[in-house]
Amino acid sequence: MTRVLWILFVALLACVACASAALPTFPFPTSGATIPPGIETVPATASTTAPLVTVAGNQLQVVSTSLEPPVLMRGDTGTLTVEVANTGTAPVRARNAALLPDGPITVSGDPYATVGEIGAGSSIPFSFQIQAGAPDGLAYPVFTLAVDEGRGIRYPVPVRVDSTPPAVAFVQKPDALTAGRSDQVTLSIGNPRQNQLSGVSVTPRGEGFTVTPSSVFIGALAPNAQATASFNLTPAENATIGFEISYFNGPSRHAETIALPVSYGQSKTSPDLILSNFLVELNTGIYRLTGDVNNAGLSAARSVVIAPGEGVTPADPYPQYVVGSLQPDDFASFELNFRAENRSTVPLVISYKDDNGNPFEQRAEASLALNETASGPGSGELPLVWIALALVLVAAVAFLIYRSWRR
Amino acid sequence: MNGTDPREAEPIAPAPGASVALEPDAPAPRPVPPGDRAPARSASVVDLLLNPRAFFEALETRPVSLAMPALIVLLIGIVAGIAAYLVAAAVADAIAIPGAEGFSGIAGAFGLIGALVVTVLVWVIIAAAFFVVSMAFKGRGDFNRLLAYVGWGHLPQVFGGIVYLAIMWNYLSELRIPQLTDPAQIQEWSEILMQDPTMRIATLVSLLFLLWSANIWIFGVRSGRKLSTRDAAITVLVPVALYILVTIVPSLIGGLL
Repeated sequence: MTRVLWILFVALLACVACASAALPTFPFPTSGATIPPGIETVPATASTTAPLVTVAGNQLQVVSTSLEPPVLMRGDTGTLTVEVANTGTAPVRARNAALLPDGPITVSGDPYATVGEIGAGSSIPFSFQIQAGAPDGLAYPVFTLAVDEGRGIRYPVPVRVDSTPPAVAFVQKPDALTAGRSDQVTLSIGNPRQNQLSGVSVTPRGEGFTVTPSSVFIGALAPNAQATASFNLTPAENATIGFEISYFNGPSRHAETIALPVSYGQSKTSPDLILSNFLVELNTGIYRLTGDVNNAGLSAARSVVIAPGEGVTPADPYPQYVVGSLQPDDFASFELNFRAENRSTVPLVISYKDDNGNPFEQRAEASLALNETASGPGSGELPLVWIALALVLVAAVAFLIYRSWRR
Repeated sequence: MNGTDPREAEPIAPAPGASVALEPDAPAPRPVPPGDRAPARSASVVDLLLNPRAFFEALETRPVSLAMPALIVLLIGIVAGIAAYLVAAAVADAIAIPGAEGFSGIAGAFGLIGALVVTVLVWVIIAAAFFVVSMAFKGRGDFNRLLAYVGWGHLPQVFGGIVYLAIMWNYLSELRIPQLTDPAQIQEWSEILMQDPTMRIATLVSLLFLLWSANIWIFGVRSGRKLSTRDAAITVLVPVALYILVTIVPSLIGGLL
């Protein structure tokens, strides 16, 4: 029985030796080791397992590569890390490690001119500062690690350069700017990139306006995510307004500025208040004007107040009339009392606010032609029945007086 | 003025239309003064309105009684008081001054009583004015008789007051008074109220009936103070004209100035 076990052990060792002799080997140095074009490779990450690269008799291999940020933008600086492990049973003395530039990728410095010994079963990370240039695309800077006896490893690391900026759009903006009027502007910031952006913030830029808030900080923006930033802008005449979206791709800061594509003018959606259905009465020298106010605009009018204009004197009980909010296509009735002398029309002032609290004023005129005969004081009209009665009485009394003297 | 006896200067003919309506409490006829030629006759309200000369001549033979004249003046006072009550209450209702709530009833009562008192006072004052003025024409006759005649002469103003009240009632029922929040507004509104055409019509009606009364007063003063018709007319028309100028004309032309 013991003899059988011993024979099986020897046979197993023989199999292992044969398998080791059959593994491929690379001479050092080599050149032209590239990935065939047209083959898409995923960006290097910390979890990526590199293909096994061995040096005959030493078992050195690249076990992982990582790039921070995972996708570079043009001009970005990144850190490429290559981890090499000694999977053998004896330590290996490495001479130097280097990263060779490729395409838009350049390498800063030569931090690993001497490496030293890599212990059996241990691994060493090699980090390189790289910088992305133009054009966008996929590049393969080559990692090399030289060992004694003219041998070593050579490993191309795929690096993606993509300069696609965040997608910025105006979700809400006024159709026209009016000097001194506050309007709300809302921007949407989306991240179409394959890696996360950090430190995203939006800041209004330009001259001749006030804004609240002065800046909106969004923070991290995951791939394919979006965030919004709202501002209340109050421009002056000839203001230039833009928004700067700043963000970090890894350690590199980027900023994009987008202009607010709005011209000055009257908003097409603002409230339009129209007065109609006037009814005028005159009583005790005080006019009573009733009517309707209609909102023919496309947005709500808030805090609507109607008052007589210049040249007339408001009177109780309704020196002015508070209508309140008036939705589009809605109407409300109003009543005003005022004194007016030697006038055929009365000026009316309609004041209101929009949703942002901006005050507006519209003016209108109403005729003072009396629609309803009032019998009150100052109406200027004599009731015919009383005139007739007075005439009859005058005649009767005159007759009686005359008769009294005739006798 | 002319120094002659009015009775001699202008003999009075007996009234042909005098009817029979004696005062119920009329005492026995007094002795006819030597200068009075008119016979003792009855006097009626119809005579007062249609033939005041005959009416007062008929009264000359009777003792002075202030009952009916006072009743007439009180009637005028009541009618004027009701009108004043209506106006005062209407204005008080419109007053929106803090603390003046419930002022309507008090104001109306003051208006009613005030009009009543003023009417009685005006009666006495007018009679006194006639008495004083007639002294310039050497008028004779006691004040009570003149006071009674002036009271009788107020009768047309009872009718005038009723017409005035009807106009006011109709006017105030359709009147919308705004809220008056301060005394200046009340004053201003009251002035505007009096300048209203309807109110002017009412004032004109009052003036008309006042003139009718003045016509009757001429005959009353003539009989009561033993004056000629001309002197009696002057005695009556001067104070009445002053009264009209002071009280009525301003309210009529106030809005035109």
